[in-house]
Amino acid sequence: MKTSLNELLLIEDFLLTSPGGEEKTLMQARLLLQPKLQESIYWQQKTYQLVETYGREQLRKEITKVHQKLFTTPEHLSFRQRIIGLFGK
Amino acid sequence: MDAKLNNDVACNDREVWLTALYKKAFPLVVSHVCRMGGSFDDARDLFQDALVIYYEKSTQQELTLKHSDKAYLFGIARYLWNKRYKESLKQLSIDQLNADFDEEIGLIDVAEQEISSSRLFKLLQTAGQKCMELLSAFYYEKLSMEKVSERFGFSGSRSATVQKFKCLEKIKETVKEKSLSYEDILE
Repeated sequence: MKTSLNELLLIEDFLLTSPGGEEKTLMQARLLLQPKLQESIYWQQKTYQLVETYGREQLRKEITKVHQKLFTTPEHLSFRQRIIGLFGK
Repeated sequence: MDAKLNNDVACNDREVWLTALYKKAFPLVVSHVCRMGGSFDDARDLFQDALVIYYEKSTQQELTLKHSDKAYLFGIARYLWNKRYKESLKQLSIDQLNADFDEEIGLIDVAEQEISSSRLFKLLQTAGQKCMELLSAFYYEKLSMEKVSERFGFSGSRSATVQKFKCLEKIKETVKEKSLSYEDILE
């Protein structure tokens, strides 16, 4: 069964903000009443982890693109020469 | 003045921001690595990791830099060099190095590589690409809903929020279903 919007929101607040003592107790009570909630929290946390990895990979790709541009295009020739000079010292 | 990231710099300008940092700080890192006996590839890898860390630090919290962004980036790169190359000479185990590294920097190299090569991750990159882009803009880049709405062409932040939750629901379902059928998802 799909997760309801309320549940997504509830779990998001619990995982991504720092819940206070009262919220933690409330969540423990909910877990007692809805044992499947624990599983739902697990999958949502895994989803955030994968989104984070995806975001980081996209950033790495962009960085690689910037590097390639700086080390191949004519407009950045002086920068390249400066770097090569550093290794030649 | 140093360009500030995130909601100050339009997201399409991330490339401009990265290029400016590359031009300012990479020569410093090359110089240092070269002096320490490292190669160009060492300097490149180190600098690119430092850029990722600097970016993540900038999005996670309001960074108040005492020095320039160039100095800050150089500081991260020098720290990584010391960790990876100097301490490896003392024959620390790779596990020890990784543990220190994760603790102090929060970059999870090994786990990340395993996740990104998993079948589930590859599936999400293709079948769920649109949603992954939207979720990543919000959760990784930490853009405001207004910015997310602008980038993805929604009518406003309210409709962007609705779409974000629809995507979260969809990806969560996929992660659950596929994790149960694939064996390569990480515990």
